[in-house]
Amino acid sequence: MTQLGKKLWELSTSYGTACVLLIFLFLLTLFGTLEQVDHGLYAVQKKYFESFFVLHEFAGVPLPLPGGVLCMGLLSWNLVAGGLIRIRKSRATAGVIIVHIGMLVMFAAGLVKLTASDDGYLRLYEGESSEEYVSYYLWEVAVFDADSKGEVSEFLISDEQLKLAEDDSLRVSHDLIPFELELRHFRENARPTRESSPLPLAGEWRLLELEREPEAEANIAGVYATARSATGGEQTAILWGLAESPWVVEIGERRWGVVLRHKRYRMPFSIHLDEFIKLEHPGTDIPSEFSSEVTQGKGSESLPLLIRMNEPLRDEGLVLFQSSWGPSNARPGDRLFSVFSVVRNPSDHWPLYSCIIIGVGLLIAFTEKLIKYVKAQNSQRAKEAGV
Amino acid sequence: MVMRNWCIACALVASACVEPERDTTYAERRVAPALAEPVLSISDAQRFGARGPSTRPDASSGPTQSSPESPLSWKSPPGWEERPSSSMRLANFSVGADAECYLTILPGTGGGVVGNVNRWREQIGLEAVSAEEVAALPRVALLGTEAYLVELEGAFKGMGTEAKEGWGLRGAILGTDRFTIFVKFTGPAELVSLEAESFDAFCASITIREEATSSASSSTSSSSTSHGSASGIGWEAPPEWVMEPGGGMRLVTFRRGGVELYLTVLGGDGGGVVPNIQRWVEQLGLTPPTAAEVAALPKVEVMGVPSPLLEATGEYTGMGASGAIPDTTMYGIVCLLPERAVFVKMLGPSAEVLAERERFTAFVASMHSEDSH
Repeated sequence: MTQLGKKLWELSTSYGTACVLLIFLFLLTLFGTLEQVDHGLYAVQKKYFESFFVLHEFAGVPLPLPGGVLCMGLLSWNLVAGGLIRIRKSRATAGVIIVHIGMLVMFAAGLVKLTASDDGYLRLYEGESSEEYVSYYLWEVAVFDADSKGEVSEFLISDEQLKLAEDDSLRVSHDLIPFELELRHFRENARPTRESSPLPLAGEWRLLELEREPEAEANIAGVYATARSATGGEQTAILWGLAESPWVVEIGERRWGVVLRHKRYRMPFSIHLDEFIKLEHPGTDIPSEFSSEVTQGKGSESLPLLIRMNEPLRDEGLVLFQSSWGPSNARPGDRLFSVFSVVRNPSDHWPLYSCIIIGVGLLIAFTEKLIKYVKAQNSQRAKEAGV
Repeated sequence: MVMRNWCIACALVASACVEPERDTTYAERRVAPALAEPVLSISDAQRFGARGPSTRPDASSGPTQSSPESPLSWKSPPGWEERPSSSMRLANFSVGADAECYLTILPGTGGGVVGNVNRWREQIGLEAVSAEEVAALPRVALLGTEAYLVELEGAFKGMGTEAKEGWGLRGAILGTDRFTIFVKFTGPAELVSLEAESFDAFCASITIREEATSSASSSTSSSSTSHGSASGIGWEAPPEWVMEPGGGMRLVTFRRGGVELYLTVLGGDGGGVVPNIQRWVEQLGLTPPTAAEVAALPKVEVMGVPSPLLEATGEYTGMGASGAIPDTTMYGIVCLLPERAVFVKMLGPSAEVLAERERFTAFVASMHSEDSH
């Protein structure tokens, strides 16, 4: 190893580096929490924790900081190289090594959550069922046969693809669809208007771009879509996230629905809301507790369940939390709906495993310390007693 | 070795910088549950219009909303999401995540303009103002006339909620002889200010539904079979009674000689049984009954609901009366149905009213909900 390589190795695996990275993580948490007040959770998560670098404005002065991903990456390396490889291996350090392994499991849980999980919500009125939940902020364009009977085969343009249509066009085609779809001017927050706007007209309408909302789920996306058939026919329309109905493209005798909507995820089971129960504090409209009696359907099986705050439904890698209800201005007797937060996280239980490993490691480390201390005390006493 | 690693790293960086695919295929194909409702080939205006994305409040394609039993109709402003009407809220909208706007009607003065302006001011943490200051408030078009416009900003404290700082309230109050209309918009001050134009346009769009009048008129004009209906309520009126268009808040009005009978429907409890009967008694120059006295009134069955019947005689000083009219008898019924209140009122010279009593009873007994037919 060269001199420089050796220095880098020592620097990156040192306690000092770990302390500096932990201080940066503390600062990111502090600044991120403060900025969340004005910019919302989603934007702050992206800026401070899902980034490599951050430019934080502190008292009007831009302050460059390493982002959450960079800090966690370096800390993981520091932990592996310093806490597992470089550390002196002996009975005395066994507990510490186990603690480090537990911490790495926790980091790995975070990485899996960041890269492989998805979340959304499921809103049901009493008596309704669903097999799908909906993303809070990711969008998709779905193309489907508008006259389908039974299950519908949908062709999807992802949120990632839609972003490509922000500044340029995106052309999408498939052998089973008799037209090419071109998307342009994707805007994360927009609404159709008949009045002036810098964006072009599509029929009588054009999109008006709006400032992005701090809470990402409040944004309503819009995009221009052009369908071109093989025979040269062309139809253009605006797709909008709150449109009442899909845009219908007619090619020959077939009708195709094209819709921009929040990304949907299919669940391996259905949820039917039997009853939503809301208890209120006496004499007020403020709910003290709310829960949902649901029936979980899996094939021909039906299982009645109760989902309440802190008692989610966990099944098939999905977790359904009771998150809210509405309408917020409902009066006694109004029909209510229940909202479940749905999380699909393959590393859902890893933090628990991590805590158990860390607990075991700490127990071993402290026991080792205690034994060492008792031995030292006994030796001291024996020395004093002149044995 | 080092060179090789550098090459790999450079290749990775270069691949990340390559222009993404813009002529591509669909990211995914999946099987979704059956369509919940048929997909209709509709116009862009219809696709966008229901939530009002048109920025022209008076656009002809703008949706005219209101429930069938509502005596009013209106145009939903752009971006306002209509919610189900509830109890006292004839129209009910949410605007963005936090703001809401709703329309309420109360019979009579509904507590008076000054009282309500000060109630709103109190809700937003402001001192009460005098009647003179209320009189100097700006106006906004509503129901073809001018309503008081209230613009407030402060810490809003609604019913059972924590005070919300930086909140705005824009409201309109219109008092008439017979009822008072309230339109109230609350939300973050910035949003309330941004939606001020939409609010004013919404107020201006509110009109009295013609449906009740026209449906009632058409059903009775041709023959002696004087059955009719409006807003989901049907009746059979005696042939002697001459029907007139409802007008204002009335579903229908009948006259015979100096006797007038009319039917009114309001959302929610319409202000309640006791206050309405007390108000009617006051109109006759009599001491208003207590709640216990109202409870002790005889009951008649209206559309299956036992409802108190007021029968009183006095000097009438209510609406439409230029001065006190002595020896006026009034029959009044307040019928509370789920979500709405029905009022039946007959008044006129005592002798003539007494002569109509039987027909009045038969008319009330004939009233029925058209929804059940």
